[in-house]
Amino acid sequence: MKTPGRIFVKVSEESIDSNRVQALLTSIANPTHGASVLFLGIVRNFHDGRDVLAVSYDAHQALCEKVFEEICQEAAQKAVDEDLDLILVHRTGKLTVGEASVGIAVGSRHREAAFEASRYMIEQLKIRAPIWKKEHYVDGESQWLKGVPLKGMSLGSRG
Amino acid sequence: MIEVKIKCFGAFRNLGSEITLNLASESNVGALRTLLSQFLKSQNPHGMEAGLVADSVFADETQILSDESRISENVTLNILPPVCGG
Repeated sequence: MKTPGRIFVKVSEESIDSNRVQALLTSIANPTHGASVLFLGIVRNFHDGRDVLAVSYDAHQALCEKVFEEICQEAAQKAVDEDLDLILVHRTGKLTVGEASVGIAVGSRHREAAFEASRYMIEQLKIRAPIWKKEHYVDGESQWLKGVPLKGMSLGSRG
Repeated sequence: MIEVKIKCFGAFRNLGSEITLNLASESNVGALRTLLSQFLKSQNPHGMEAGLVADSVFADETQILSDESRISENVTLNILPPVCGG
């Protein structure tokens, strides 16, 4: 099995502001890497025809970080002849429009691997990580969003 | 009887942070799923949470549990509804 480079995952209320973004990029700096990709997921002001003021994120922290670790390991395995550094962080708590909810940083020797890994990480996060969001609307209503069932997922399932 | 505490996440937060149920000894997670669904229906026949139980999974602090997993002693579990991170 291939040994990945550095992996860092975290689920917390800590803001993903410009200082933290800079820290993410600094932490994947590597003289053998020619590419760094940073992806931020941002709270948007509309969804499904409704005006959104904020989104509350809930998560099972321990399980979520375990899933993040698995996703990063898988992304690293997929990158043949690469030595990826991978960071995956997600916020919890109530975020207003414009705030970053998720941050992904990938460092690689070549750009293709960094793009592919970051795309894999965000797509897998959305369907596997135990995270939930509740949207708060301009009209004062709020609701938990429908999601993807975890049934059949392999996260340490036991019979 | 076994006392099972169920920590609530996502849409189940509407019910509070935790639900406590008494389950027959030597039961499994499938029996807990049925009991929780019945309990929620009795509490609120028109609520959406009872139906959501079928699409959710139970987990301990390290793994998702199959419906065949045995529950043999008092325990705290988590109920995880469909996910939507990012």
